[in-house]
Amino acid sequence: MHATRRYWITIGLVAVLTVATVLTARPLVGLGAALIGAVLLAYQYIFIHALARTVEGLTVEIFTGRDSILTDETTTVILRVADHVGSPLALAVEARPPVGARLTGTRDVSLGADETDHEAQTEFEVTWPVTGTFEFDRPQLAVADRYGLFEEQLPIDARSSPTVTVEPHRPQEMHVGSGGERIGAAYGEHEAMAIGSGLEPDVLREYTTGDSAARIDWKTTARMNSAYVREYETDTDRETVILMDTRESMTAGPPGETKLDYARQVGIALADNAHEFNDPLGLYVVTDEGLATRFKPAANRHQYITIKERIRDLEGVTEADPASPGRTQAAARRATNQLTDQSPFARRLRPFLEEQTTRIQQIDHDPLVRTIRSHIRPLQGAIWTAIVTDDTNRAELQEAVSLARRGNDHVMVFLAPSVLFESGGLSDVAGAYDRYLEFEEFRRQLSRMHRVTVFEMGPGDRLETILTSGARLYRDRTRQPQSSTP
Amino acid sequence: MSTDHTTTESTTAADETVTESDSETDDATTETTAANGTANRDTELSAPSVSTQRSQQIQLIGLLGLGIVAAGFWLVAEWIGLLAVVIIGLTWYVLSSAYAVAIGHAMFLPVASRSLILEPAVLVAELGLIILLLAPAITTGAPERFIGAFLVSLIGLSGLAAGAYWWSDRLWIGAAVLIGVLGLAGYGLYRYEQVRLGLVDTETETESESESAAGRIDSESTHTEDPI
Repeated sequence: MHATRRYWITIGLVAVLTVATVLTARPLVGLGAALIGAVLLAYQYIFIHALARTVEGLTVEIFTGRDSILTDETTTVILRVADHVGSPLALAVEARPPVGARLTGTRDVSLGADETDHEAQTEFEVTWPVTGTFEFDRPQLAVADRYGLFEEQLPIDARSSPTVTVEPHRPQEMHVGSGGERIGAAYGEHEAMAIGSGLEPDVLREYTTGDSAARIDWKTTARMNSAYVREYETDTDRETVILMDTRESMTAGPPGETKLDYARQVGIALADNAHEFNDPLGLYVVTDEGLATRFKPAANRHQYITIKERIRDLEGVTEADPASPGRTQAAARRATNQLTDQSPFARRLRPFLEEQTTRIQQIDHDPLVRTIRSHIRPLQGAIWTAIVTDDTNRAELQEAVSLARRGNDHVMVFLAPSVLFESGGLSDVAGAYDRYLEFEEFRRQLSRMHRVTVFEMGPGDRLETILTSGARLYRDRTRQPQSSTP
Repeated sequence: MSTDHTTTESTTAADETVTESDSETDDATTETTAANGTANRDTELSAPSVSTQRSQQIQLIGLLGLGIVAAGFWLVAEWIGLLAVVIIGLTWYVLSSAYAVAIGHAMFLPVASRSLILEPAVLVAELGLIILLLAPAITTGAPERFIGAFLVSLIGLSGLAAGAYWWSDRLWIGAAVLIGVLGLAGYGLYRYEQVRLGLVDTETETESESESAAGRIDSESTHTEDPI
């Protein structure tokens, strides 16, 4: 409760009358002070009572047009306030969007003390420049009594308040598949690969001693003239581990369509899938400096949301990118070394830079291999590893995939072919086609490994151009020597 | 920012001052909001400014109170008493009822005794001043509650002050008790409001909150992201 100037002036009157009482030795004057003091206490009490009633009878609702938007997009937000008790106080309610959101327009509504209409609403626009999941803070209520003696501001609960998920811009032509063919199913779906008595029918086999009679498939038995049982795929909690590569090679490609932009979408889809099936989910992010993020597999809502946010926030950082919001380890080291002075600024900043230097676990070379060897292989239980990377370090990737196939574990690899992200467009389509064939050969080589599935990911339009134009050019080139032969 | 829905027209000079300054504040914040588009916490919320214009009902009750005051003062000092009532009436009209009550008691000085016992004529005038003071109760939305709170406060304040004076036979002690009790009661109500509306923000609570927040972060890092 905030007392206004008018309140303090009135308190001043009480003080003057009290002093006058003592100076003149007339108790009757003091009665005036008591009267004014008593009426002030009564106003204060009635203000508190009215305020409590107002808070209980006030309905605040905040709506947004969309709950999921892309960065830098704008949503319209509606703030609606209804006073169900006819508050005698003048009040204003303010919506409080998350810090960082940009506002246009008035985000508060007012209800006067004398108004008969006790509903009001306002619309304002919010632009979201930062990715992530954001919740509106509790709305702020400001009230004043009609006598101008007291004011108060307090947060109140909103009956409905939106949670907005801001996602980075997606590449326009997303392609995930193999040999130029898109995969139909959602990537990330996986089989349990353990046979038992689950729900999904898997294989038929001849009845053997010890099988339960209930599992006999009578139709097949009648057709084959011998007893057959049907095996079902068991439901297992297969742990999903996503290994994201964010090294410098992943930043290749035009802005908004780099390898990392595609990798991010694949990563989010994988995380979504694990979330949908309640599979325990883990995340490991490899940068040029080593392992930057490590989430051991867990199956709880917080883990799914945090991992998806981490993937959304992934940035490929290069030394030659001064505008990048991130900082490489070397750059952090340089900055720390430059802070030699003892100014308050340097003292305040130094621990953050030093922390960043120590936060990343340094791995000198082959960080994918080292990460799998040190962190993923020791994990208990069945692991389904998804490696999202490119084809730059092929030998390393081959070793990493081999290591990830421990026991009966399956590995899924999402590869961004470098040929689809080369700068300078597709001026040399034939050359690009050759390089794509080379990539495809590598992909097939990986796919031939047992329990390994490899997909390509990248811009579908570029791939189509390479495959159609390149194949035609290639045919022409092979025909030419034949036709010139006498 | 805050739209002024209520009229700022006022009949008293003091009220005009208040409403004008409020209007200026509102204009300034409105401009800030319109020009922002960049940040969302750079403006300060304020309740709409309130019209302090007296309603017709309050004026009628106030005039009734003034009439009773006039009767009391006539009994005390006849024509000179009526002159005092004119001054009280003008103060009430130009300033507020609290000022009128203060002036009214100042007018008692020439006739008041050193005793705690009030003469019947003074009692009549006091009744008129109380009516003048309580006239706005009709617009509080809960007049019975307001008058009840006023009576309890008045009995408490004046009773304790008079008791202290009677017990010590020193007027300054009675005056000090009056001010002290008023301050304690005001602060007590302030704390009551903080507790009732859940606005208590003690240091201990802040510390425990920050500790629990740190605990949350620790447990999160234990169960989700491992330290590398």
